[in-house]
Amino acid sequence: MQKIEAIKTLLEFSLLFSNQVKVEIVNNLNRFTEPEITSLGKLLAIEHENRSSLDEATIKSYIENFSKTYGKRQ
Amino acid sequence: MPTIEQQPSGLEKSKVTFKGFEEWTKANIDKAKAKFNEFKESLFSSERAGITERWKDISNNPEAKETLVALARLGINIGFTVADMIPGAGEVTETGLNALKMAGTIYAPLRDLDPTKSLSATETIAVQALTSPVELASLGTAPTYLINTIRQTWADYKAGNFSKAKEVVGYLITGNRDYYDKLKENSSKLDAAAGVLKK
Repeated sequence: MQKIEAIKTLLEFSLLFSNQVKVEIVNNLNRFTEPEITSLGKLLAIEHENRSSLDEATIKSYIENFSKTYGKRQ
Repeated sequence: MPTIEQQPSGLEKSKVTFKGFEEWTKANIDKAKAKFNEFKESLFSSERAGITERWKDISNNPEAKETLVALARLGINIGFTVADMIPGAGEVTETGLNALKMAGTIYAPLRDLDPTKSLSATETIAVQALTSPVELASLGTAPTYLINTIRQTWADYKAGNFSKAKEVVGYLITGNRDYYDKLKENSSKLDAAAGVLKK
């Protein structure tokens, strides 16, 4: 399985991104650099491996953290 | 399809670009690992939560709330259509609803109670007037309210209020069971994908 396909597979079940952002990610995957693909892939793999210990509070705080960091970059 | 609970809205309004994504991930990946491992007990499964919690989730999600309201409206309108076949009852109901609609033009909160809120008072009164001969001929058994039901349902459909009906009702009844079932079904595929991405 190629990295891009693997990202799409995990993204479908990911709780880290809203559906809208998931669509944006999938539509832009071809424009990602190799390191960006690797980073996103690692993030999704971590999420998958820790899925059983995820809870709503974790996800919310993680998303908030992402939003703050992401917002500063805009 | 992920359920409502799985659609955090933190990024909805952001323009999505990915410049600097790598830097962000590098800086946060350890934090993410720590956070993920911090919680030993899974509280996430909404199957554990009662219907009250799931109802609260839906109430906090405007899109899901509108879906439920539209479904309730459809149910009420079907009820009124059936009632319209009872001589006398239909006329009383329709006149009452028109009065409610008129009152809604003066006191706005009443509009939320209106089961044909997408139709104007003029339209519903015109429908009632135009279908009066049919009502008379059928001795009040013709379900002329069906016209209002169809028009309101079409307006809700066009507004996309039914697009998530299955998802919203499914979530209300079963929580995230569907998501977890799919997760289980796809576990080997997901494990393989995670294996590729960890390299």
